[in-house]
Amino acid sequence: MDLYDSLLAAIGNEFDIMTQIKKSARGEVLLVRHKENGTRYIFRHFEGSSEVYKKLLGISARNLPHIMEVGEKNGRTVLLEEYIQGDTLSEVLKGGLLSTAEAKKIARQLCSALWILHSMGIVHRDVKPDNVILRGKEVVLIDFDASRIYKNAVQEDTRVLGTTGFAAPEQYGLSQSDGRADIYALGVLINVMLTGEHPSRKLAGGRMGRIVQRCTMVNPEKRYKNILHLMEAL
Amino acid sequence: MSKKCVKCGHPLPEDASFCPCCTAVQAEKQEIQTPRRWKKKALVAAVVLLILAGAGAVFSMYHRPVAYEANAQIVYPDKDHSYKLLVTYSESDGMAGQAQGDRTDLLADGLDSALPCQLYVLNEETGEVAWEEFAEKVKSCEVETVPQENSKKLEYMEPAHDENFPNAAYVSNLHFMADTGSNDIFWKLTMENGDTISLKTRLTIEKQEVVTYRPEDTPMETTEELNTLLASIENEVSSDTPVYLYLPAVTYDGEITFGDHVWQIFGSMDGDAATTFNGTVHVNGKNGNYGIVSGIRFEGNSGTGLNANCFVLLSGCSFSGWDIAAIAQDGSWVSASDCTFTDNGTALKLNTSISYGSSPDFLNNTFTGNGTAVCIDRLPGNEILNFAGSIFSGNGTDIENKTKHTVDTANAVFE
Repeated sequence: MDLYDSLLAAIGNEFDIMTQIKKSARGEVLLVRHKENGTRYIFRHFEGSSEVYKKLLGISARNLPHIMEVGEKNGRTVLLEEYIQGDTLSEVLKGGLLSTAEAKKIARQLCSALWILHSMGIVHRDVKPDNVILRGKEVVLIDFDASRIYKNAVQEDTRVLGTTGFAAPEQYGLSQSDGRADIYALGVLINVMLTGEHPSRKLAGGRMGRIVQRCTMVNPEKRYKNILHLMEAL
Repeated sequence: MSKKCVKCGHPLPEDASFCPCCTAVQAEKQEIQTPRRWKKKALVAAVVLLILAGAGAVFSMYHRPVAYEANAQIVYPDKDHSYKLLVTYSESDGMAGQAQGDRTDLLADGLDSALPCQLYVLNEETGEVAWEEFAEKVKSCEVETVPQENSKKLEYMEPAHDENFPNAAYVSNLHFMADTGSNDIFWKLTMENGDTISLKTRLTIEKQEVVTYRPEDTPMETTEELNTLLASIENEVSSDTPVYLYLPAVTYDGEITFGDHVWQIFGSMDGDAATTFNGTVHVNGKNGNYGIVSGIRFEGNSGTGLNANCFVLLSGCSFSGWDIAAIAQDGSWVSASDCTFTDNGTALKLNTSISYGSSPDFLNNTFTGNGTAVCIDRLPGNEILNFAGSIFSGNGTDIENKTKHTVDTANAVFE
C-alpha cells in the first residue's frame, strides 16, 4: 500500500473526525483526533500537487506548523499536519485594532515564517488574518493550499488562488508571483492590523505606513527586495 | 509495507514519515532558526548605535534643536544645503515652487468632496524635487486641522507619500462638506536631529446655492419636456450655479445634452420602471464644471451611451447594448462606482488629454459579457486607476491598457 492509500485508511481506522473545517470543489480540511492518545491534527485532502508540503515535511520551525505525513496519487494529495491551538488573527482583530508594537511583533514572526518558505523556493500566496494563528506569544502561519514552488525566470501566468484584497496584482496574471507577492500581502495585513482597512482605503500613519506603502507597490520591483529587507525595516 | 515504526513496530510504507498507529515521527526534522543575518545585523546595529550615541553626545553640544515656523512655505537650512518646503493643492504649483496659502472653494449643498493637500520639498539652490533624500532625515510627519468659529473640523488622512503624486513628499487628503467652513491646517515635521518644521495653510469651504428641479413641480415626463427644461436652464441659470435634477421613472428616447453646469442627475424607480436613456447622453461642463449621474439605466442598440465632455462620475448606473457604453474624450474623465456594464462592445473607454484628481476610483463595478470591459487609449498623469471590488466576467478583454497606465486590480475579481 502506498502512502496515499495508507494515510487515507489510517484516518478511518486510527482517528476520529471532529469537525469539517473547510470544504470546496478542490477538497476538504478536517480536524481529526487520534483515538488512542487524543492528539489533534489537521487532515487535508485536495486535488493538486503535494510538492510544497513534501518540502516542509522534513523541517521544524517555530512559526510554521509541522507537516507529519504527505501522500500523492493521481493528482490528489492527502496530508496530516500539526493542529495549532489558538485564535486566528482575524478573531483577534474583531476585538479591536493592534498597537504598533503588537503589529510589529506579529509581522516580524510572519517574516520569519516567510523567510523559511522563500528560502525553500515556496511562495505562500495567501497571507491573511484567517491564516495566522496566535499561539501564546508565538505566531504561526498556516494553510499552504495556495502555495507553490516558484522558479526563477519562468514566465507563466498564475491562477487566482489568493484572497481578494490581500493578493498582489501579479497573482492575477500580470506576471509570475515570487516571494514579493507575499511581501505585498504582508503589507496589507500590517495595515489591517493597525487601521482595520486595506491601505488603498486608509493607510497606517507614520513609519509603519511608509513600510506598508513600500510593501504594496503595484510594481514588485519597487517593493522590498526580499523578506529579510522587510524584516529589517520592521 | 516494508518498514516498521521506530516506536511501536507497526508496519509502514517505505517512505513513511509518521506512524498513524502511535503518532511517532519516523525521522528527526531539521530545525530551522530565525534568519541569522537579521540577528547579526541587529548586533552590528547595536554596536553602531553605541558609537553613534557617543558621537551624538558630542554633536549635541554643538547642535541644539531649532523650531522653524511659517505659513505655507519655508526654507530649511540643512548641513549640506537648504531645502524649500511648501504646501499646495496643485502638483504643477508644487513643482514650480509656488505655495498656496489660503484657499477658498465653493461646494454645493449636500455634496461632499476632498482635496489632496500636498507638501513639496525642493532643493533651494537648484529647484529640483528633493523629497527622497529629505524624507530620510524626517522622523515623523503629522497633520492637524483646527476649525475656526462656526466651522466644522476638516477630516483628513494621515500624511504619507502617495504614488498618485510622485513628486510630493507627503499628501494628506482633506475631506469636507458644503457646511465645513474654515479650517487652519497645520503640517508638522520632526527631523531626526530634533528640529521641528511647522507650516500652516487655511482652507475655507463656502456653501454654494443650487437650483433644484423635481418632476412634481416641473414637466419632464417626456423627451420633449426634458429637452425644453434643459434649454430653459441653459438660458436662465448661470453656469456657475449647480443644478440638481431629479428625473422620473420614464424612458427618454433620442439624444439628450446636459450643458455647462455642475450637474447632479438622479434617476428613480417606480415598480419595474426606472429612469432610462435610449439615446446618447452628452454631459458638457466647461471650466471645471462636472456631472454626477446616479441610478440611471442606459439601454441602447448601438452607438454611445454616455459621452463625457467634462468630468462625469457615474454611480449606481447600468449600461447595456452599446457599441461604447461610456467614453471620456479630450478634456474629460469618466469615473464609475457601483455600476453594471453588460453586453456592450466596449464598456468604459478613456481617450483623454487630461489627468484628473486624487481619487480615480472605479469601485464595485460589474463588467459582464462586454467585448472589452475597460479600454485605455490615451490617459496622461500618474493616477492609479483603482478597480477594488469590481468584477470582470465573460468579457472578450478585461482591460486593454494601450498606454500602460498604472492600474490597481489587486482587489478586483476576474472570473
